[in-house]
Amino acid sequence: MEKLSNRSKLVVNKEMSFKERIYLPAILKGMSITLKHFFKPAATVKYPEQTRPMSSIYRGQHVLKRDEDGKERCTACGLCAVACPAEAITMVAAEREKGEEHLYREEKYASTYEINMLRCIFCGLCEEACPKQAIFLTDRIVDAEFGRAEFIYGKDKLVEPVDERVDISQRQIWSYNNENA
Amino acid sequence: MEQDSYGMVNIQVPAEHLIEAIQALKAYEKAPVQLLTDLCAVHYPDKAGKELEVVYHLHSLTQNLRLRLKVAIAQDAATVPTLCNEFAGANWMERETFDFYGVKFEGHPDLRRILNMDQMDYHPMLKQYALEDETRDDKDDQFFGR
Amino acid sequence: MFGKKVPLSGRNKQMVKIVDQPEGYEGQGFFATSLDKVIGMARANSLWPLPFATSCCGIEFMATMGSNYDLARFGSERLSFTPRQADLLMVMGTISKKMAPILKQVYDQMAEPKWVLSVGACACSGGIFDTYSVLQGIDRVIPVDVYVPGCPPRPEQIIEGVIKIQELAKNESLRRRNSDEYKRMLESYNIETK
Repeated sequence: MEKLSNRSKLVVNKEMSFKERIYLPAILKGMSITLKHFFKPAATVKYPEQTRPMSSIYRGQHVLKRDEDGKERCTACGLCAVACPAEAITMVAAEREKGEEHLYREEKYASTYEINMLRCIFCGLCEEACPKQAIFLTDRIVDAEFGRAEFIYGKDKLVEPVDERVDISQRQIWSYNNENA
Repeated sequence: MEQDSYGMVNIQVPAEHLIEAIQALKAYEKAPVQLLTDLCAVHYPDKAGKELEVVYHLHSLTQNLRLRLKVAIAQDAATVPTLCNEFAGANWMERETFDFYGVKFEGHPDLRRILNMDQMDYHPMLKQYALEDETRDDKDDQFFGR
Repeated sequence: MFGKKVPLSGRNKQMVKIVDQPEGYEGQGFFATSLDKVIGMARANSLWPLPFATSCCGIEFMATMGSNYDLARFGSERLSFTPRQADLLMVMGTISKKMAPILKQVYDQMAEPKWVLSVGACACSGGIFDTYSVLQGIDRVIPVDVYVPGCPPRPEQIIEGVIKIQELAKNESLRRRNSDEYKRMLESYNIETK
C-alpha cells in the first residue's frame, strides 16, 4: 500500500554507549529520587482517625428536607423516581389527614419513601427534578454494610430530624438558595 | 441508489451483489477502499420485507473518503454473504452482528456468539425483546413512570 | 508491644497505631490467650486482596492503594493476582453475564478462608445497567460479605469496607468454614464443597 502521510519515522535500535551499558548511573539516579522521598513529609491520610476535607457539593447520602416549621416538604409527586436513571427510588403517596398539618406541608405526602443505596449512582438527578426542594444529596458518605437489606433506606434514615437539621445551604441549587434568600 | 447523509455517501446494495460491489470498490483506482471501519445492523420492525439493514462503513485511507453500504434484508431470511475473504477484520464484526441481530453470514468460518453469553437463546437488539433485564428483582414497576 | 502508640522519629511526628492486644492472661514472661483470637488477629491484619477490577471502581481502588490512602496500613500491602494466594476478593466494576462464570471460577480457586468485598453500585446490584447483558449483583453467583455502595465509592468508603471485612475475619470462629451451615450456603450458590 502506498504511504498515507509523510510523517512516518523509521525506528532503529541504536547501540548503547558504555555509560548506558553499565546501568550504574541510571540506578543511582533512581535511588537518589527514592532517597529524596525519605525526607519528605508522608502524603498518607490515616483515614479512620484523620479525614480529608470533603467538598460541600459532594453528592453523598440523600436527605429529605423539612421546611422551617418542621413539616416534610415531599409531596410524593414521583418526579425523582422518574428521573432516576437507576430506578432506585420507590414511594407510596398518601393523603394528609386532619390533625397532621404540623407534619406535612401539603395535602399529599409520601407515606413510604425508599432509596435503594446499592442501585443509586449518586448522580443528583432526583435533586434536580424535585419541584418542592425536598430531596438533596449531602456530603455524608453511605457506609458499607454486611447485607443487602440494610441498603434500603427508608424515611427513618432519609428524613432529617427536626432538631438536627442537615445543612445544604452550600449546595449549588439555585431555586433553593433563592427561595430561602 | 445514492444519497448524501451526514457528509457520507450512502449506497444501497442488494445482498446478492454485495461481494461484487466491495470488490469493485477495492479495485477502484481513484479511491481504493482499504478499510472496513464498522459493520453493524439496524432493525426496522415496520418495514415489511426489509426489516433488517446491514450497514458497512468503508474507508479509503489514501483519499480519506468514507462511504456507507447498506444491505436491506427480510428478517425471516436474514442472510448476507460474508466479507471475511475481502477484509479479515470482518470476522469478529460479523460475529457481533449475528450475536445481536441474528443476521447469518453465509460462508463465515466460525459464526458463534461473541459478546453475549453462550446460553442466550435470542438476539437481544431486535426490537421485540426488552432492553431491561428480566431477572432484576429490586424494582416494582407500578412506582415508575415508564 | 501491643496497643501502644509509637512515635515516629524524623519529620513525621504523627503517631502510629498498632493493633490492640487480644484478651488473655499476662504474667512474667508469658501471655496466654485463645488460639482463634490470635489467628483471627493475624488473618484480619494480613488480608491479601485480589482486585477483580473491571471498570471505574477499579480506578478508585488504585487511589485507595496509592500513598494518599494507603491500604497497606491495614496489612493489605500485597495484592495477589493469583486467586490461590488471596484471602479477599474485591470485585470492582460491572460484571456482565458472560463474565459471571469466570468470577465464580476465581472464587472457587481461592483457598479458604476467603472473603468477598463488593465495591460499587454495579458489582452490588447492577447499578444503572438494568440490561440483558449485565449481572444484577454479584451475589447471584458468589456469596458476598460486605457491600460498598457508591458510583464509584470514595477511597474512604472502600477502606470502611475493608475494615468491616477485618472485623469479620477477627471474630470468625475457626470451625466456621467446616460447618454444615457454611457448606449449605456454598451449595446454595452451586459451589462445590470438598
